Amino acid sequence: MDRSSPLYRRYALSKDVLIAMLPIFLMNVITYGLRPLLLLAVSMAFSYLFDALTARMRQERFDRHDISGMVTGAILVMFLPASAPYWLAVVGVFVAIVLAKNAFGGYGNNIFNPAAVGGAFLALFWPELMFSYPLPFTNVPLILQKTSVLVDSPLKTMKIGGVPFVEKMEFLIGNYPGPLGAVGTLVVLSGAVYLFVKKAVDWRLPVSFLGACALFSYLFPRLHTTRLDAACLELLSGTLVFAAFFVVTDPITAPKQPLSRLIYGALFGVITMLFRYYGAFEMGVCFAAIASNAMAAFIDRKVAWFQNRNSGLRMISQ
Amino acid sequence: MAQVAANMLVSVILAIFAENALFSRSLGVERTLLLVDDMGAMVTFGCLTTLSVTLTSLLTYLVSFPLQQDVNAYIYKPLLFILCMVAVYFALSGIARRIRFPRFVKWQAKVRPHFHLATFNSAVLGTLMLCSGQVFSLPQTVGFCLGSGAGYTLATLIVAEGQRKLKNRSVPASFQGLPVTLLYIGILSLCIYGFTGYQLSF
Amino acid sequence: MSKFKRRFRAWKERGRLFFGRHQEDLGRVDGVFSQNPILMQGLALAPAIVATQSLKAGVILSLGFLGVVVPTILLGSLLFKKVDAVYRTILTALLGALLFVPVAYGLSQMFPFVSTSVGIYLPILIVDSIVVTKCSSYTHFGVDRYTFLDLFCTWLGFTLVVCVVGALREVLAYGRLWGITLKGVVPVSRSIALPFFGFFLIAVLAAGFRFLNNSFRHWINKKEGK
Repeated sequence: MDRSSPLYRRYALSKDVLIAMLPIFLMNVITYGLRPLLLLAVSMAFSYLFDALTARMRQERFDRHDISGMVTGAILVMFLPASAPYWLAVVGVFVAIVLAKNAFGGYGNNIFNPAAVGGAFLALFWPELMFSYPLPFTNVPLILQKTSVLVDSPLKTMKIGGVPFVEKMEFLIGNYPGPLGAVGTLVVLSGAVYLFVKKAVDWRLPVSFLGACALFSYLFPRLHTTRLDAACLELLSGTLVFAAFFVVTDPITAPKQPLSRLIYGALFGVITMLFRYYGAFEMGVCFAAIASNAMAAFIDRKVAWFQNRNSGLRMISQ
Repeated sequence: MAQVAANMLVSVILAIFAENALFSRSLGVERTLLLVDDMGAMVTFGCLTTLSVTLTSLLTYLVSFPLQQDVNAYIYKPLLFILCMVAVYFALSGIARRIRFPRFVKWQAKVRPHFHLATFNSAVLGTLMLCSGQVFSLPQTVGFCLGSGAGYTLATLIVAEGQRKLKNRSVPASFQGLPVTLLYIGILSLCIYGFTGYQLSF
Repeated sequence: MSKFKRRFRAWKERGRLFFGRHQEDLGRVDGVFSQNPILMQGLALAPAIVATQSLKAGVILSLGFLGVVVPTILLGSLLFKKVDAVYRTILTALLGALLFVPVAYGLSQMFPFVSTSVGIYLPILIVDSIVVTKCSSYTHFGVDRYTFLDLFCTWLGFTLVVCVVGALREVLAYGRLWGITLKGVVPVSRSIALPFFGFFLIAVLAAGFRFLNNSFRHWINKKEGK
């Protein structure tokens, strides 16, 4: 296959993202046992199946080598707790693949990040299942019992302005109850390094996103602690860092131009923090993704117009 | 005075975002779908709707004040509110006809086909009915209606932006047109509900 | 080929020819299906998306449509035929609001909690786009006996959608139908009652309707023997 063809780039990107997520999958198994792996397998299998079935809806031949749907399934699972029922993942991938992706025309044509739409849908429908977590480093049974202990994440404490009883080091290694994607900042960053090495992501997006989140939480801290501590806690908690490298960097839904990407990443970060501060749920990144994706093309257009106008003025002045 | 202004501002912001007429209550969605291909007409329609609903709210507040304790108010309010909308429509049309500036006359000719539809539509009547159902003061009512109109205009622009993107996509035949646009609006509505998290009253 | 298969194919072919010959007659009742006001034309969407949280709400909306919208369109087309389109919109809104008074009174006697069941979505039917669109159409083409049939089918199409959507959402959100708890039915989530789910549901139903309509048209118009 020609390496410059869009199809090859699609396969390569999907493969790179899955490889970058391998450390996260491994850490999930260490933290919670085999259940996350089974959840992931169910999610990826059903996303592949839904992709295949809905290819008929688009009257196209399904490409068996296309694993982009499985990437969506994998990313969606990162927003779930290890204790999430398997049917929750199936419903989430149905919404993501059928409604958010294939109804808009399939890969490359979706306006919204499908995993974010699936995550937002599940959060609204079943918040009690989405925001209750097992304790880390406990072996979560494959079939969850009614007596299984589930707790709130530190994000819930932060929502009411409290400082969680979790050390920063524990945030870095993922030793706190949270979604599967909040498995530890260091683990996520190791995957991110792989993406940068393979040039699968543009550095502008995660840098502007994290920068905006950090600046917002520094200037407007909601926690009763120092500004620096507040900014650190906001960045390290939840799926913020995971989203910075695996959701914000989605090449289909992000703008195409360099300056647009900086603006978009910053806007994404601000909206995420607004949802975290004032939204109904502790998770803000999925909802912020929807709002930001709706503005991506507009930002691209306005930046292009501004740049053309400036280059036109320069030509006139010359 | 500052308190009044603050209350009004809060009502405006609430109406634009958390209680957006289109995304949270689906008001005016039919007109949006009809105008979705014409950005200019959409903006004009949105601005006229904002003007209509804000001015009419002044009248409807006075009209609904004595009806607050009446159990049958639900039955009479639509008639009274539509009479207010008629009064505002003719008042604005009369004022516009008296203004003779050439630019304004040209703009008025462009805007006239939309004005009656912008005054008599579900976004206007629905917003007025909502305000009268809440325990709002006059500044809050005016602020909410202004915000509702502005939020509706903003929402229609976002829908038009989405429509621009959807035109270039290979949307499946069954989903082309109304279904995919409704899905697009539904996903944005999902985002709004991530903010409020609860069912708004209607 | 088995006898049953042969009979089925013959029966299918007869059906196709029958519908093919009576396409004009089908067109007169297409307000229910292929010109469904909500799913195909995108009219009266707001009540269908937000207010259909129960079967009862669907029935209230349907009766409101029959009592307010249908007479408004009919009388508006007859009385204001020679009136300018702008003034016709205003006059039909006033007419609809006048008709709303007795209809709302009647509905509040039948269903004591009308205002909480459907809220603002019953009165906004007065100024819905369907009134303007249908009035314009009937004043242009004239009112005849088929107008009554078309209006009846439009009402039927509206009723079908709001009642089915209302029933579905009530069962899924609350595990009830017409306020009666259903045994053995576990409610899925109360968020089904939220508007965004209404948008999703109507979008999927609209896509399904379009698919069925296109398939049906393709089937009755295909050449014999193919």
